[in-house]
Amino acid sequence: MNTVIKVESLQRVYRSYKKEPGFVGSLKGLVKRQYLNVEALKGISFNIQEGEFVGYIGPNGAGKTTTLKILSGLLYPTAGTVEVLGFTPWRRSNDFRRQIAFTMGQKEQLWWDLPAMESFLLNKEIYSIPQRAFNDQLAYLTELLAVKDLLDIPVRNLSLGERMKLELIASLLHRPRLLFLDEPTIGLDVVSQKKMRDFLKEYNRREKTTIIFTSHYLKDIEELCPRVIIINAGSLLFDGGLDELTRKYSPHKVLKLTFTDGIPAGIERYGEVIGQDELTVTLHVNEEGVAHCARELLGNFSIEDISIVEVPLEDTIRKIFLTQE
Amino acid sequence: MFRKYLKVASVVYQEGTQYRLQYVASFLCVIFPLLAVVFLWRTVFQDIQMIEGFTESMMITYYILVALLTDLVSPGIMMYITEDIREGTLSKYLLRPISRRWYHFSEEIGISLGYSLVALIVILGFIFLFAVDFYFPANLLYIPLFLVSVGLSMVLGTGLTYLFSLSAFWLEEDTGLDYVLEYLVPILTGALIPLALLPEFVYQVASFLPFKYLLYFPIEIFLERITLSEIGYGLFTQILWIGVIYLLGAWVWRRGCRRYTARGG
Repeated sequence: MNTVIKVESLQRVYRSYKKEPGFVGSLKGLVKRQYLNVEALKGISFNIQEGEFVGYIGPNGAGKTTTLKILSGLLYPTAGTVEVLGFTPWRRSNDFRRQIAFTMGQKEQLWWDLPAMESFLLNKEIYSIPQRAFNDQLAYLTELLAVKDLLDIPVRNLSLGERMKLELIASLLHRPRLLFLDEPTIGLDVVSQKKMRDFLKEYNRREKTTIIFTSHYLKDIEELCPRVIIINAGSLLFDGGLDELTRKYSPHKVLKLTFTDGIPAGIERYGEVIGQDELTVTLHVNEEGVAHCARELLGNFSIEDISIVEVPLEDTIRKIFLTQE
Repeated sequence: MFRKYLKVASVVYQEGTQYRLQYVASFLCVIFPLLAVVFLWRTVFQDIQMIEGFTESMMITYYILVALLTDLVSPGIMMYITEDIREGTLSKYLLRPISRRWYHFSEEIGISLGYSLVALIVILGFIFLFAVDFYFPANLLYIPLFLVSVGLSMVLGTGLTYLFSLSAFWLEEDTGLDYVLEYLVPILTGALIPLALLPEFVYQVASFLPFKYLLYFPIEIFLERITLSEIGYGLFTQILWIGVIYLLGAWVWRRGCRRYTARGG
C-alpha cells in the first residue's frame, strides 16, 4: 500500500499577544506588546496509508484542526517534516490541491444566494473536471445523498443538514484522493448524522479515498474509523486500531448484576465496583476472567438479571485524557 | 485555464443580481451625487466662462465620467479579502487550485460590469432628461486612447484594492484604514474635484501617487486637456504603476500567507 501522509516531529507554535482589558490596556498594547507563544503541536509523528479511514480525536484545543490545516497546506509548520501525496502541502501547488479536499463544518464554499448547482459548476471549472466525469460523479453523489431536488434552490433556503450534504458534494466532485473532514456532523440531528456516516462509509469503500476525520461524536468514530489517532495538548496519546485501544486502556468488561435479595457482602472481590444502588451493582471485570466470574456469581447468588457489555468508547477515551493529566 | 475565472465573474455577477433592491439603491447612489454637483457647477459657471481650462460643459462631463468610471476602477470589494483573512474564510481559496489574485480580479470584473451597466443606463437617461451639454472629443483618436487608459485603470485599481486588502494579514483588528482610504482616495483620484483645481502642492503630491491614474488621467484624455505626448507618457506611467503594484502584491501575499492562521476553522 501507498503511504499518502508522512508526518515527522511536526511542531507548530502560535504567537499571539496579551491585551489588558479596557482602553488603557489597548494603549499599552500599542506601545509595548507582550507576546505569548502557544505550542499547539509538540512534535507529532504518524503515517497514513492510501484508502485508510482514520478518526482523529481529542478535546477542544488539542491540536486536531491545526494538524489538518498543516496537512492541507493552509498553515506553515514551525518545525518538522510533512509529505502529503508526495508534495509539501504549504507550497500549495495546483497538482496537490487538485487531489485533496477539506470540508469544515461551517466554512462554506457554496454561494449563499445561488443554487448549489452554480457552485458545483464553478468547481468544475476550478478543478478542470471533464464534462463526462462531472456528470457521472454528480449523479452518483446526489443519488447516494438523496439531494437531487435541492440543486436548483438558493442555498440560503436550505436546512443545515441539506447544506452540509451539498457542501460535501462540492468537495468530492473532483474525486480527491485525500479528504479531510473537520467535524462534518456537528450540529446535525441524529438522523442526518446517521445518513452522513452511511454515506462516508459507502464512499470510502467504493472510491478508496483516504479520509481523515475529526468528530466529537464517538459514535461517528466507532462506526467509521478502524484506526484512531488520539491527541491531547499537542501530543499524540494513541495511534492504532479501535480494538487495540479498548484492549490497551479498557481491558475489562462491564458486568451489571441485579440481585433478588440485596447485594451480598464482599462483592468487590469479583471486580472493581463502579456503581451500585439497592439491588443493582456495576462491576469492571478483567476480560479473561469475565466468563469464570459470571459463572461463579450465578452459582453463588440468586440473580435476577445479568448483562456483560464492552466499556463505552467515551469512558475509555475519558480515561486516557485523565491519566495523561 | 482562463475559463475558471470567467465562471467566477459570471457567478459573482449572478449573485449580485439576486438583490434587486440593492440595484435600485445603486441607481440612487449614482444619480443623487451627480445631480448635486451639476447644480453646484451650473451656479458657479453663471458668471465665469472658464476655470483652469474647464468650460461648464467640460466640468459636467467630468463628473459624469467620474460617476461612470468609479465602479469600474475601484469597485471597493476590498472588504471581501479583508474579511476572508480575518475570519478565516480565505481557506476555501487556499485549498482550491485557483489564484486568489485572479479570483479577486474576476470578482471585481463581475461586480463592476453589473454596476457599470446600471450606471451607464442611468447616466444616458440623465443626459437626455436634463439636456446636458455633454462634451465629446473633437479629435476621435482620443476615444480609443481613453478606452485603453480606462482598461489600464481597471487593472491598476484591482491591484491597489488587492494590496490594501492584504494589510489584514498584519492588522488583526479593524484599524480604520478603510475609512481613511474612503475619504482620501476620492481626493487623490480627482473624483471629488478635478486635481487641476486643487492647490499646487496637493496636485504635486497626487501626481507622485498611483491614484491619479485611476480616474483623473483617463478623463483628462477624454476632455482633450492633454497632448498626445503627455498621453503617451501617462500610459507608460500607468503601466509602470501596474507592474510595481502587482509585484508588491505578490510579495505581500507570500509573506502574508505565512502569517495566516485560518482561525475559526
